[in-house]
Amino acid sequence: MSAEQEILILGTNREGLRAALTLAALNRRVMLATSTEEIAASRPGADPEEARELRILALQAAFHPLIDLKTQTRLCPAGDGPGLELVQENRWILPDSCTACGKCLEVCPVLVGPEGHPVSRLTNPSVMTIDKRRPAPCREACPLGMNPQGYIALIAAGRDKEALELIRETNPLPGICGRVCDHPCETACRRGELDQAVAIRDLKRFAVEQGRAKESSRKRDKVSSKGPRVAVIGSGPAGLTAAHDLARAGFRPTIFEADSKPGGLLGQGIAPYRLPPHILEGEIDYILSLGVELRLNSPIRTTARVKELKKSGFKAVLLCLGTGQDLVLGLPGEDLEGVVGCVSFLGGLWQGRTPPRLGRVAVIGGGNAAVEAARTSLRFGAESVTILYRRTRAEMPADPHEIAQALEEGAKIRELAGPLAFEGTENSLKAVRVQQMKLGKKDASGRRAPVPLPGAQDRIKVDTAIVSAGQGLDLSCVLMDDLPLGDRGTVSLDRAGTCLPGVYAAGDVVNGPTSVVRAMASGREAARRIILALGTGLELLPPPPLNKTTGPEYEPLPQGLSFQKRSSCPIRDPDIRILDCQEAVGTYTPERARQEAARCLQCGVCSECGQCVEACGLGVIDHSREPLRQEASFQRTLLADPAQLPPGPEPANLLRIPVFGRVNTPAKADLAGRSAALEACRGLSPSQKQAAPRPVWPVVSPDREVRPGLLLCSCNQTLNRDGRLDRLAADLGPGLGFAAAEVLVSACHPQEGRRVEKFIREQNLSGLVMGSCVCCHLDFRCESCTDQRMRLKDRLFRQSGLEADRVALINLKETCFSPSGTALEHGPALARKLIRAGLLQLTERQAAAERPASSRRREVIVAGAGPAGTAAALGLANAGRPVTLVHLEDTAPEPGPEIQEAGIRQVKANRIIELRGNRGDFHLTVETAPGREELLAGEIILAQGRLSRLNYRSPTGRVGFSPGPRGSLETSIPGVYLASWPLARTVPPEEVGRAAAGLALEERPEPYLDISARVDPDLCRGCGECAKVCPEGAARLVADQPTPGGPGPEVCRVDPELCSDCGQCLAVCPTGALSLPETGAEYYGEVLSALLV
Amino acid sequence: MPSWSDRPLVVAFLCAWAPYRCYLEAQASGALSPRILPVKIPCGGRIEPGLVLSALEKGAAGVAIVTCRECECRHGRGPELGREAADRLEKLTHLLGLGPERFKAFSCSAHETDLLVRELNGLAEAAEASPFSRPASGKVQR
Repeated sequence: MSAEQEILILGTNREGLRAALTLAALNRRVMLATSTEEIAASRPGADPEEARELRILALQAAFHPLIDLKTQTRLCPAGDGPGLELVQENRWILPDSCTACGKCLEVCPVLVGPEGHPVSRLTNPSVMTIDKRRPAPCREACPLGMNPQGYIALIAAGRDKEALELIRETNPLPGICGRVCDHPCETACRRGELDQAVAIRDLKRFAVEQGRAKESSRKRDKVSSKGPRVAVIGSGPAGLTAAHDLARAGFRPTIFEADSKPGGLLGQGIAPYRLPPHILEGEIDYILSLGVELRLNSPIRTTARVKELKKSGFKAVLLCLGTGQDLVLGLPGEDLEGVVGCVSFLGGLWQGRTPPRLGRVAVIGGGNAAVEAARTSLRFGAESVTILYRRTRAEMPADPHEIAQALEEGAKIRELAGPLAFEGTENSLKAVRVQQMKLGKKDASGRRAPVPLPGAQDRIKVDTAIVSAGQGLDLSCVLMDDLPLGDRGTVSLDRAGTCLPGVYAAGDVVNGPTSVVRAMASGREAARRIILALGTGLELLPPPPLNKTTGPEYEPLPQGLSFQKRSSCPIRDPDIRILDCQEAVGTYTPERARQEAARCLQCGVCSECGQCVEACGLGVIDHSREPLRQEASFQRTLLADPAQLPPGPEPANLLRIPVFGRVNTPAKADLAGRSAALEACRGLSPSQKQAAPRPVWPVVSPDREVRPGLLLCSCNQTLNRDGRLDRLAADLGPGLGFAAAEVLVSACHPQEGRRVEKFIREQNLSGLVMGSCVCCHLDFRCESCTDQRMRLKDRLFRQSGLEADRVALINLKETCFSPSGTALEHGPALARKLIRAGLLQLTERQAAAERPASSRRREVIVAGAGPAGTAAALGLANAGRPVTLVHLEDTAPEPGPEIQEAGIRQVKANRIIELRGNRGDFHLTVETAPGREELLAGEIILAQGRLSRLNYRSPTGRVGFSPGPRGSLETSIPGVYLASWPLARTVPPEEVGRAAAGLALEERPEPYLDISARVDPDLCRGCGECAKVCPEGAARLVADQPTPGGPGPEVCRVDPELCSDCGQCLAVCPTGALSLPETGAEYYGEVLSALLV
Repeated sequence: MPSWSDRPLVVAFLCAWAPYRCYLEAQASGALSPRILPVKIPCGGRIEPGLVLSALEKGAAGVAIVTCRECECRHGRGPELGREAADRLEKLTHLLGLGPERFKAFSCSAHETDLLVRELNGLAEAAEASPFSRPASGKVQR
């Protein structure tokens, strides 16, 4: 792309847009880039009129064939080199394809503030945009990269099924995590800084419960039966997650579980009153349904067995062995009967072993396992339970809710109590001797370390002591001779994540005992490594851990937010719940869930819940779209907006568009942009007029059968809800005599252009009426125009090459439908009328005459050879225009060599006698030394202040001229420009001269359809009324063919290049000699008939 | 109740620049009378009495000419020419006994949607009430 463009303009303010348009008029290819997503006036305090003018300029630039306008694009140093590159960022919504139908806005569940959504409409360009910040803290904190903000927003919006689907995208065990996750997300929740963190885990459980009814009919991922086989050893959270991710990527995983039940510590280490067995079974069943094979009672404990597996066809082996072995404290008496490890105590119970008589129980430890052991003991008949912890309750790593529930159930906590020894008689435990502690300085864990209080020891009488000092790998069970082990009894991994060739490890066996969610994240990471190593299923690679903490910062925490307590889930009475092992905590009611979800601050603004992606359906939105990079090698760089300049060394050949005074007013901005454009062209090789290839209508024949077709755009189906547009097409198509009628999804979408062509070819159409949002098929951009309309026209008439005179465009969207897409009451009837009028328009246009040739003169006269005149002349000559520079008596010294080198014709004159003619054909009479000389030109630049009293006579007898509005270089005569700036004190004359030259050089790009006024010479009587009113000087009187008696009478001619199709001449023509194919009296007569039938 | 097409309809000749933009905004907001039929013209200066008379002759209950404000015309003198045509039309409608209340000419800026709605809705009501407007039978009364 960069090779095509010669000039880069940084900044899309008025200066930049004007410079781009001037350069394009000089046939230069331009890239116009801004880092902002919207094109807006850089001038503070710009009024609405300025904004509208800017909008029109932006549309002109965006759809000029020689200008490539890119928003959200910044120039920055290339990653690994000395050069610069252009990076287009934030491409979540592709502005070139967005139809602005608003479906994304309709489905966005996120509410920021009273009514704000992250999705909104931009004005300039008229596309949708997404406010995306760095990921919400809850998401950043989740090891699995779950998207709590997204599912909370969906729950708040009452869309529980969608919430569950979003949860499922990253979490294969949502029911489990909704109950037992240690929720690092809640710790990170910013709401906690205001009052209390949002109950993210409980909301997740609510979404799962609500969606469970639909689980059976849930769409299953497609399972491959041919993918590589992978052995997963262990069915804990890491193994299950890895198997799930591998199966989704097309692998065939087999889980080998040593036990008779799957789940690892999920089944053996977590009590059923926290995680009911049927939840675990349900989640495992789902994973197995993806094609995962489960082999129970299949221990793989030796290197030999691993090798056997590899020989039998498993391409990789993943060890997810878990840490099922209790670590010991190493205290005296730990081997007494009555002292048990936490895992073995709980595991034994849940496997159905008869519990021993517990009596008075002491639980040693402060983690979740310890609290669980305490609560379980109470359920199995313990007389009393005391948790002994070295620090205070505030430092306990266990979930505060679990601690609270344990206390409710009757457990006690003895804080600052460090066990010293277990004492007993006859090998039977009788007491625990404890050391009283106090809190000292913070240790490596960030908590205050326990320090023994000298002499403060006592004994606690107990019958059972449950030691919860952590877990380790059961080395007695794993006899892998060459398995490298770390300090904590865990497996060490090399940098590639493997420990032996083809053998991987994940979960607690690598990281030591962690939480369920961390074990799952470890399993996912191992699955990623396996997929990457084996090189298949890459397209379904599980997402990497979330590490993008970049992006705009969050909104500041709202001030004055009223305290809102977090909603709690229903919980059974403690006295009753300890009588059984039924689940203790229930889930939210829908009302409570919505209430709780509404507390979320939606920190990341856009939650990336993906609802908009699905709703769009056109592939316009993609939240993971990467920035687009391209080399930036331009011959010139124009800096319109200083904020767009990258840090570091300036780009080569940088030219700054000046600011005159404190800030550029619109007039000064135009001047600066035009002047800079001409300056940028200096020294560049001459440009060639680049004619765009224009394919023709598929079948063009004057005498062929008239077969009009009807296409109705549904604006991404927003206008076709309930098939009403389909019915309209079915009704109007045959009803109004169309050969074929169809409904398009989105006419302005890139893919639909091809469909239009196909429709025309297949149906062999002679013309087309298109009902969309497009009002006209003109190439000028009016107040009402949008990017979508211009895109459709550009695609049809410039890119596809359909002939515009064979297409009638009717704005149905905004005349017959409300903004929400519902048809107005009279919409169908009005649509019928407008389409009928369009059909007439089509018939009318097919008789349009050939476009007459332009007789516009290419020469430009610059009168006055001062600094402004010289600069103007040089700019024009550099652009390839023939220039005559008139040295007036009292201006300028001798011309510089530049003038002569540029091939500028020079005329010395005493004064200007008069100016006659119109734009495109001026006659300037000057008084020279020999006498009079008449100079001819298409445009005139007056570069001397005193010339504002020029003696002007138009062909119609109009005399005199006056300068244009304050600050403008234009005058009352089209085609005559002033290069004497009225506020010259702040603007150098050279700049004014170049700007005037830029103005004289501006041309419209080739129109889609020539609708310039045509003259019937038989009717024209040469009255000149048309020439009097023509604002462009396009209509002029010329001598007709000579007659035998002398020169013929004067008649009107309209120059098509100058005509701006305003139709003013038609209104004043007394004989009806003038006509416009698009806006003629006959055409309007037919339209009125169609409308008023 | 008569259908929409049977009710008196008002043709609004709208300059393609500011007035048409206001019309689209007004239509989208639902504030505009459904009896307004838009006819887009390239500039207010395009209006000639014949177009308006043609609309009345074809059965329009009322006709409006809406141009940009004079200082905002993209084609120079469009509103001025439109005003001149409107002056002639006012006389003509009076002379021909077509009911001058059925005709209205005004200017608006791109941000004056409210003005456009007010004027066009007012015209629709006046035209409906006018004894000169088309009766429900569809026959033009002169």
